Amino acid sequence: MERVTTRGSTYRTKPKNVFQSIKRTLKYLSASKVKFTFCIFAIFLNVFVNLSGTYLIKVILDNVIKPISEGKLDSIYSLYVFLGMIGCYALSFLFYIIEIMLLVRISQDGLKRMRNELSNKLLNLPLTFYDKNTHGDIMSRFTNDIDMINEMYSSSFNEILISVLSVIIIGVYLFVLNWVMALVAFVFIPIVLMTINFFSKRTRKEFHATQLKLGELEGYSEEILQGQRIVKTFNKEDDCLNEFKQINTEFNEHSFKSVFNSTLTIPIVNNINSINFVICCLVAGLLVFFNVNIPGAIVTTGVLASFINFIRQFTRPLNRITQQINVVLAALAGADRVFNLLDMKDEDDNDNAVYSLVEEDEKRYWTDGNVKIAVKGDIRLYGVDFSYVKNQPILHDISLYAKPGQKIAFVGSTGAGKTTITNLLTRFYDIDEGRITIDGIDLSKIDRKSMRKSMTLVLQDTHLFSGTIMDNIRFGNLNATDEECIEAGKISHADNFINKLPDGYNTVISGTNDTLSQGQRQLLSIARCAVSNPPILILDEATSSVDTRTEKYISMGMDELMKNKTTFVIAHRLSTVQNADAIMVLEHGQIIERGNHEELLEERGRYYSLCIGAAKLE
Amino acid sequence: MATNVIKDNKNKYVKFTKEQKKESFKYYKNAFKKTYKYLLLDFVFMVLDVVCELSIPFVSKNLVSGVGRLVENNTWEVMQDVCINVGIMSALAVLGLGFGIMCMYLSTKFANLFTYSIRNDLFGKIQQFSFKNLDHFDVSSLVTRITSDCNNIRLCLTMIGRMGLKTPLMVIVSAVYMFIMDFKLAFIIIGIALVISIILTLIITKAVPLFSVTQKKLDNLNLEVEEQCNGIKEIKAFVKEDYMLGKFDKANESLKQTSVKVYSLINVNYPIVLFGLNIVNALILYYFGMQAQAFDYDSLSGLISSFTSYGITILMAFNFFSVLLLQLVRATASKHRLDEVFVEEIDIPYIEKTKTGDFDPNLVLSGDIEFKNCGLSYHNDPNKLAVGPLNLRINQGEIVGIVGGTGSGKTSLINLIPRLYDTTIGEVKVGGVNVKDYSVQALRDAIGVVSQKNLLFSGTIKENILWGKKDATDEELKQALDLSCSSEFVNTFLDKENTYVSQGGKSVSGGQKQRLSIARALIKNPKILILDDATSAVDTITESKIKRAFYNELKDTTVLLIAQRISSVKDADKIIVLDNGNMVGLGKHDELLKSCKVYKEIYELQNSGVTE
Repeated sequence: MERVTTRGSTYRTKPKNVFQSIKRTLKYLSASKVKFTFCIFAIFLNVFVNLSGTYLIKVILDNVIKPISEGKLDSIYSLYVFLGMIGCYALSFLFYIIEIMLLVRISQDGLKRMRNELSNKLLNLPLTFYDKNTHGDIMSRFTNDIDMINEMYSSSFNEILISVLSVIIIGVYLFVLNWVMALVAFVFIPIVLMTINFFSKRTRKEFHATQLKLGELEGYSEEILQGQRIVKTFNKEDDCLNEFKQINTEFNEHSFKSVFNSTLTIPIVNNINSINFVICCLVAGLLVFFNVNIPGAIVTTGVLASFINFIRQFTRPLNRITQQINVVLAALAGADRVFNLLDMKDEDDNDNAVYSLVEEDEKRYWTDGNVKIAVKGDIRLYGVDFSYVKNQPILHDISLYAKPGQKIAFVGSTGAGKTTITNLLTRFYDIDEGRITIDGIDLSKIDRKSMRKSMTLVLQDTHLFSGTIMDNIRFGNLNATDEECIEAGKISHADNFINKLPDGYNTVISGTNDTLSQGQRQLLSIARCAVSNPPILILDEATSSVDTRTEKYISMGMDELMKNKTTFVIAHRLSTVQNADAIMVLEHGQIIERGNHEELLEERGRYYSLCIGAAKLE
Repeated sequence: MATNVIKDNKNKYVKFTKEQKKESFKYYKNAFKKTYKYLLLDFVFMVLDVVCELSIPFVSKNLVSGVGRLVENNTWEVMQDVCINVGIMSALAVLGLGFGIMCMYLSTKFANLFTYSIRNDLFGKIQQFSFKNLDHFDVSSLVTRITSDCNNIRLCLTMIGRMGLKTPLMVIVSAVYMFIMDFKLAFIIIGIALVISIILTLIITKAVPLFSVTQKKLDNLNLEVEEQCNGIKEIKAFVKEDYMLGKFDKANESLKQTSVKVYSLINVNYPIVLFGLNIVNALILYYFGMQAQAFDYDSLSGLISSFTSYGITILMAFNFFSVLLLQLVRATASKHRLDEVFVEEIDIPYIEKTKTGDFDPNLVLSGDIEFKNCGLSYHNDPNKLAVGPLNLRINQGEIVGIVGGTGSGKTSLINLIPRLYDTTIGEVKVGGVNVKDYSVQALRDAIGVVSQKNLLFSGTIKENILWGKKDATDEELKQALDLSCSSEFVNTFLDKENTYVSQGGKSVSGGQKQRLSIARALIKNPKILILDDATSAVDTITESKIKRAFYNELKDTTVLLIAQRISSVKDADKIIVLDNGNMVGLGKHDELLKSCKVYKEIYELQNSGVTE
């Protein structure tokens, strides 16, 4: 049995292998290579044009405005230059906008693909996966993790590319303008980077702690609010509030540290920048003052103005890169979780199935391509052992047979292994030891989906899907017409209550609401089986919370359904047991008694005492 | 079963009344009271920070033109001037750094503490909720309010604390400087900035309604995932994987299309600002280029660089306003959702009650129960009663069975005793006193309830049982476990009663959970014990053992048993038969078989299997 010791789910903020994760994440974007290449080109163009504007300041000051101010050039040239600049800017703006539109589409396409893959994976994972993972955990793949990847796709990608290009282009321009001053300015790059790195390390640590605490806060709230009615009947409100406050305090402390550390870089980098600016000016001054005449290091007013403008733009991209790195790391950690799930083994992965189900002339056959065997519903178990968790056997040495059309009932106390047997027949789980055959074919040789098509199942706690009653019945057989569905409703005696609903068969129900009682849900699930009508039937009778009138309908519906089918039923009603061809009494995962009702009563064993115990209560 | 409660519509935007606004404002005022000093101090440092930051372009202008003059006129005096400016600017940078850090610290502190306080109040308010209040909210929506919505408010406050005062100050000062330098150009630049900010605002107002559409589509998608998880057995059994994937794909595609719209809109904001900036840059060059002859060339480069930097400041400020606007919209929606909780009127409040004469409202003396012409309506409408009106007396120590079909009002009836709901008409008396006259805590302490939807909380078995009585001794614990037939399985666990259980965990089965829930109620040693279909998952032999224990050990406790099966209540001192909310029978089993048609019908239906 699993033991959960933490409230919040574990939350990693760092991906395991950064490069592999990046590669795999980017794969989802590269669906359209042409568009993707265009995007990168557009970003480059845009950055280049924007930054060249700053370089132009120098060119224009020295080559246009200076001659104009000295009267050597007509001032109309200033207008030409202006129009040229505006043209360039407009062009780059246009490219930028197109790039954004494209990137949004590419990334949303990628996300959609990722979500679809996830959903497909979920549908094909074995049930053991669902035993080990809470629904909340699974949901958070679709919400939190995908959300972070979305954030990365739609902002970080652009930002990082722009910032890196900016740093490079600015660097080149600085060098071109005046390489001595550029070298001085470059000294600040490692300083800035080190500062940023120092704080972002601390931020990441605190961010991780914050997320953990947030998980705890969320988990605690969820749990207490879920049980709020019980909290009230036990007068535990104050205790709960105090515990909440404590978790909230811890969460708040970490959250504060994480936010403060991450924002500290803003004033620090800003002011380092000012110092950088000052020192560049000083160096420029000294270069002039000492009349240094090194080629490529000549200071003119234009050089100065343009240089200083570049310096101003130099640290902003550095800052943006580091901010985005945190986003990217978080997103990659999310992507890791998504990929982990996607890499899990499907239910069918280790199958060596050769047989599948075919339908010809309204008859079903098993076939491996050569032989055809009619599906009759003859099921045999030979010495079956099974455990959900290794070394904790649930079933031991189960052997039984069911001839076509027979009805086998399982009885026994909770935890005896009744439901487990049905889980094995549907191959929700695979057996450890022994053999199960259907119509003489080993179960493992039959394709899982085909095998399931040969049987149908009524669970104790039926899940209904959002949609109309009709949709839910049709779930059993998507090709069924409305008439067939209504017919199935009648056979299963579900139409008694369906007709009382405001919109009859078209009443919309939601999967989670409780407008339908458990009994009514079970009736619908019987109707669902009736519409699919395969030769094998597995029933888990509801134990409780069914009012008597509904129960009567359920039993009538089930009896109708069981006609001419091989049936396995987990029985709670005496009448069901009495009608069974064979009753298996289970205790601690073993069949301890078997026979029909009369035989077992005569045996005066466990079955007898169960009946008497019940009789005493009846 | 509370099937007929009203769930409020999550997407409906309810307008609050004046009183409600006042009520919710109380919480924000309280949070502000605790944190305003941080904000005030933050603003002081912010002003200082702005002074530093804005002096920098001014000094830098001097610095640049100083170097410019140096190029023309290389003398020691000019170099000295440059050095002085270098000194001033370095000092400003260092000061600015200090003030900036203080601002960050204080604004973060303010936003975090404010949200912290609100979050505590929110959870506290929910703890005061009555059952009726709880019916109005989904658990998941409450959790979202505690986490995401509070976070939205924090983000908005952080933004305001960090830039809220700074940005307008910067805009004003920059504008003033520009007007001083060149009136005409300043006018044009501010005009451009305004046009751009109008465009940004238009885009955002167009995007905002799309946010809620996206949220709805996301909810739809989540619903699909939830159904996949919950219905996985059915999906696999009916081999409907492809069908479900098709449904998912549809929801997914629809979400994608809206997301594309939203992100396309939001993401163009920055390019527009950038474009605006570039136009301003070009404009400045053109403007001064056209009149270059009128200026002295050295001061031109200084002017151009200052103007450019003020232009950037103003445009970035407007960009910031658009981001803030977006965050404000989000925070306002979140605040509204918090307010829905804050204004929820608590219908059964905890009020300290003081002793009057002989009556102590903090002590329930006996387990007598009396229903006097009482009825309950979930819609507060005496014509639409879920149960009642009915009159009934139950004496201390009696064991009373309640039977009836689904929706017949069984749970509704017993909910009135511990005041989980208040009667719509009539009154309920416990120990001869109207339940409304007791303090709520005392009343509930005297009543043990094992509800239909029983839950354990994360913790050890022992911790869970001790919910009933904090200071219970080991003896009492053992007794409660024995009486509820829990000992037999608890003792097979490796860690015995220290075994860890979790709410969703599978370490105990449904039947075991029910038995532990009974132990949790028994340890209270209640005057009245209510079991609402509480042994449904327990096998018949154990069930009869537990019932036997009630008859033998709980002589002074009034026990109310709700059951689906008549066999479970056959031996009770009294059986109440409910049908459609009305009491149609009252008496012992044998009497009812003769006198009550409904009872007889149920009995026969349930036993048809045996007599067949």
